[in-house]
Amino acid sequence: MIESIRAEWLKTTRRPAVWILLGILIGVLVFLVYVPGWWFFAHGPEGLLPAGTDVQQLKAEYYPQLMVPHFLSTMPGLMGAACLALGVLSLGSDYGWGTLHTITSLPPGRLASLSGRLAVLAALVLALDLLLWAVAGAVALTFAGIDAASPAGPPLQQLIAAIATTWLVCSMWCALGVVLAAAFRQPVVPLAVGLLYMLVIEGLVFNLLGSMGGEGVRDLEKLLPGPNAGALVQAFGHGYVPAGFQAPNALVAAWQAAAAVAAYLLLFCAGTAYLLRRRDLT
Amino acid sequence: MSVFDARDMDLAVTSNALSKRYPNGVLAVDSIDLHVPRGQVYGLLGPNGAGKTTTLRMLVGLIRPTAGGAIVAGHDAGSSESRRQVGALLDRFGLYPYLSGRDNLRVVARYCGLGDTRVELALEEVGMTRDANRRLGTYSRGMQQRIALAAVLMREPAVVILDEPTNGLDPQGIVDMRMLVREMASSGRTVLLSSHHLSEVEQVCQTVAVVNRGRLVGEGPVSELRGARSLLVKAAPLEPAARVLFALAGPDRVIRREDYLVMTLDGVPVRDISHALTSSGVDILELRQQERSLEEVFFELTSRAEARSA
Repeated sequence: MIESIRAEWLKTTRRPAVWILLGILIGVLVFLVYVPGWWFFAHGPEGLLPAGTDVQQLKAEYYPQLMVPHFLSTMPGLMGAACLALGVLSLGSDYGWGTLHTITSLPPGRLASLSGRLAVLAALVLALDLLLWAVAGAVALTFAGIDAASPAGPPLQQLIAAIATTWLVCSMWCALGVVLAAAFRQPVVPLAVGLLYMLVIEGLVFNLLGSMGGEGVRDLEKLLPGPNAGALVQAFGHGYVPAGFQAPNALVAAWQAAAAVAAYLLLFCAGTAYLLRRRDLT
Repeated sequence: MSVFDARDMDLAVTSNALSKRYPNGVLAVDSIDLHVPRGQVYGLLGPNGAGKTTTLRMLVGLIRPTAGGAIVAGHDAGSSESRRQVGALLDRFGLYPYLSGRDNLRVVARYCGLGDTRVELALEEVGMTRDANRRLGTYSRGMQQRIALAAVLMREPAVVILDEPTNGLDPQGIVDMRMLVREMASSGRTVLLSSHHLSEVEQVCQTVAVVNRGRLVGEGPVSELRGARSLLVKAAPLEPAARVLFALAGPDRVIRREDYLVMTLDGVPVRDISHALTSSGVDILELRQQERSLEEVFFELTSRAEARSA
């Protein structure tokens, strides 16, 4: 398996698409999540916000102290989508280029090479996760410096738990991408299906049906990967909620959500192994 | 012969009733028995859709047979022991377009636990050292094929499987490939290649198997499949000439056509035949040696098989 990991690491880290995805995520984090919000609250939004809104408290979310809830309220969805794409590209492209035939005909075999692939993807998702948290921390520290606010960060335990959570959630979406690529044996359709499911089916349809009050829909949502990932993230709390607004309620308890996300991660990996092992490479 | 007996024999690849029926019901390979001698270039010959690629993929372990089995390099086809000794260049090269030629080889080397020295040697062997740092996507088809071949050779396999190795190559590329195949065989490797180009197979293979509609319709050394050479004799008068040939080779080896005779050459020197004819007062109008081409053999075998199945 070590051989497979070394080979997978080389081909994955040399792939421009991986760096492009990373660049997009960093760009989104800095220029869509952090800079516009901080700029908006720093430059006189008087009159634009509801009466009684504490602008200072809103601004504080952009400082290191409240980095965890702020990051978790914005980034996991985007990171999940990027990781799903990463998973699809990893295996789907190997089908497309015929490189899976080459890999499969080499000594390590189907399962060993898959294990290497999954290990490298897990490491890559962790690296991406750490990098994004680091960038968020650096930006928050910069804003705190500009506003002469406290540079103190969040409690270390909370930060580690948050990093682990985003890694778990992103790994699950990445594994979904891999299993979809194995199912469709190409990169394009699984990418479309995965994003459609993640963003439209779970993100829009179920949210809409759930908000209309259907208890059955809520029960069904508790079984799905997305709502469980959302519940896990929400367990870290939320930032300042202005008067008249309501913080979202977690669908299930944190431990239950963590178990569900981990179970989905294992299920997707096992599904990929089953498909790769069983199917012919025609 | 049981497929398992073949482990001990001097065969690099053998299959026993190897069959593949796809889930849609198509029987792509139907009970094929192959016997590939060690150290030879063996050609799997057949038209497009005959089942050659499916057969080769079963030997490499990419496709699981639905019946029968195969032994490759002394181990079950597709097993890790077999994969260790088999290098395959399939119909698509299976390389990463965003990596350089060198990095493509490094990926394969790492999968196989080989060092970078082997990569450099392989690049040198296929003459690609100079362009090795260029992205594969910028290579011509011939260059890509050389990198794919380097990936195979780098592993020093005992058995090399090539699926339509000259497809899409320019004339120089085809000549280079033929030379490379011959070199592989001369270095003791067994080469099993598939092709629908009869001339290509004829030039490089010692033994061939002819496949049609998933079935093996003939297998043997090229010379054996072609049969003995024959001699076309046009002479005047024809009747005494026929008598001379009957006396030399026996009546079952001489066929009388409308205005000429065809004699199977089986050890009788042409010089003796010529001498016997002129000594008996026959005027020789034409004396020409004939050899069946592989193309003729191929069409004879496939049409015979089709007539049988009809």
